[in-house]
Amino acid sequence: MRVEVRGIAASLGIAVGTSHVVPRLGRAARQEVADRTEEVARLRAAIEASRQEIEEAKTAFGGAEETRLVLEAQLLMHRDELLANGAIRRIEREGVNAEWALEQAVTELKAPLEAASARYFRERAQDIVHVGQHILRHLRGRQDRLALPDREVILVATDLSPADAVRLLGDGRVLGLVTELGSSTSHTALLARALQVPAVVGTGALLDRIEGSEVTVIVDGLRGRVVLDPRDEERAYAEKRGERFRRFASELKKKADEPVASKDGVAVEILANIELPAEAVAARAHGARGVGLYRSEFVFLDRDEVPSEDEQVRVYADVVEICGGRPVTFRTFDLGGDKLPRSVRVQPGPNPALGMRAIRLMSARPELLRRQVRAILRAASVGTVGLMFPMVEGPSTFRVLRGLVEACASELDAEGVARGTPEVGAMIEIPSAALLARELAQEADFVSVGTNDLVQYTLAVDRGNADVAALADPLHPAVVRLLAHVVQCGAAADTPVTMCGDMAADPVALPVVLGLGFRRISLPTVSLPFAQELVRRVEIEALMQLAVEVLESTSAAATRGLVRERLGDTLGGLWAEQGLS
Amino acid sequence: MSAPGDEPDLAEGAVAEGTFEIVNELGLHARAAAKLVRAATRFDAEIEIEKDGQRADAKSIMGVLLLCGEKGARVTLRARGHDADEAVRVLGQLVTDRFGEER
Repeated sequence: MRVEVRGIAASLGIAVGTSHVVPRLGRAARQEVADRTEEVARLRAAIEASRQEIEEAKTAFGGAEETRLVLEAQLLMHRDELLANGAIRRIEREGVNAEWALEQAVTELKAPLEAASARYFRERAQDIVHVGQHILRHLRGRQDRLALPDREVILVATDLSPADAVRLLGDGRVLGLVTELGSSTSHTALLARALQVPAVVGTGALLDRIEGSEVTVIVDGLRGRVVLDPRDEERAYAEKRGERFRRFASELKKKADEPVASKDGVAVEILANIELPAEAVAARAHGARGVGLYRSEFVFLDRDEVPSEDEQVRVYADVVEICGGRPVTFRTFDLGGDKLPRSVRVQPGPNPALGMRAIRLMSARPELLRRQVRAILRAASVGTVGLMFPMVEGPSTFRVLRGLVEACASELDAEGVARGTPEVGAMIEIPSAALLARELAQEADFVSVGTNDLVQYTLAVDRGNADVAALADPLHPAVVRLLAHVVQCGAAADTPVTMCGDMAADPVALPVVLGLGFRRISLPTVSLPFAQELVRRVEIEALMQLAVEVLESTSAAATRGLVRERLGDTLGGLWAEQGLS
Repeated sequence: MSAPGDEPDLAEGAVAEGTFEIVNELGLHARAAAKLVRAATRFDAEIEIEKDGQRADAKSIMGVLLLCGEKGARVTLRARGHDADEAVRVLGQLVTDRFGEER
């Protein structure tokens, strides 16, 4: 049966293969032992055997310094008397078995880390657990070495210790990795990246769904998704994307950190659209100059309650930290009322796209928006942050929202809570907002065009309806003219204009977008290398001339024909890689 | 060896001390701690590291890790032994150089 779960994209790439489950290590049971001295010796022997195994893994790995240090840290923990003594003291005093004593010592040691305020240190508690488990496997003897079957596998585990990760992922048989625990900065994730094994971590309970059987698994390490037992066409598509990614990655990695500019020297800022905090890691690896659209609602789907302000601050600040100084623009919740957590659900109405959605919902649930705005303001104290509101239809609505931001900022100041001063912007995705772009650009710190909705609302095409979806072409002349208007208004007011919709990822539309004057583009991580490469191959001057002609076009088809004809020589090869003939 | 919070008995000999700010992004994390401990064990001197009154043996990775030294925290290195001066200088340099990390 097909199952899809979300996790954290921890190591880029897409893998398709057959599952191999690493059995869970059960908890130790407390037992009394007769000979305490012998039990201490047994523990010492297990620590030594475990240490030797990691030493071997480290020698065999010989990889980057960063990775070897992870193993070095594990080795040092093995030798550390704080751990050994904690366990030995328990054996000697209480006459308990080594397994139990070790588990108790680990629990006690990791406690201060779990209580730490920085996410990074909380995760380090898991490193100590890994050491404990590695020793535990040696104490138990029978499954002391996790073995792989004699075929290529997708490894599915609750968690992997760094030593096991190096040994198993470096084997060549592991095509992809899925773990129930972990985060983008866990050592397992770091090792998967170093060994270039696509990985999704932090999926939550998954083992129980496959235990005892072998199933086909798609590991989508670009989007942080795992599919068990996928449909045939889904599997074929994943394999194709995986192949495309491998080709791209090998070619473009070298250039990822170079600034992106056209052949005639015009700089274009390429940013990433992300949904989950960990995608920021992938975005960075792909050379994104920041996050142009953080879809805040995804973190909170499938929950019974809206997360507290503090919890939101943690999630947002994590993203800002991962981006390390590069700007992150948060879009406030953009959900229909039916997708809200159960406790605050609102009836969707007969036409949800035109109904209670995004900021409109907030007139019914104002406390939710306030809570989120406060959280974003607080997260802005750790980096460069933008705050933008979706579904703004005109300047009067924007004024109200900006007033709310100011009110929240004053509140935080009065409470003595640290905050930053994010740029405040409006999404332009309703045609009325595009038409009123002059006023919006004068009032907002920035505007960002969301093309998916702009196309849907301009052309009256429901994106979710397969019968009409093909009509939703962003190169429709009406859309192109609205875009041209928005860019001009932005330039006149000296207000930055970003495009953050799928149009920027459309290989034929992107040259038009650049020609119209967009210099800030935000698109899905997977499309970043393509966009960077396209910009490097074109002359903006030529695209601007092309845009003049495109603005005279009367159909999307004619525009596509024109672009293909004019840019075939320059971009033909790149289009072919994107699957365009 | 001592648990964090206990003060290691500093042996007779030369004494050196220095306070340094942690400047790398991730702070005194696992890999940085491994580097610090590896460097500390090369010295004969007994070395303790203190943060906010909490003390640990600089040669114990658990002890160092459990200090939870975040970016911006100030740590004091205290050494006693014939190579105490050198130890504080080298370890302090490691902290100040962001443990060789980029940011």
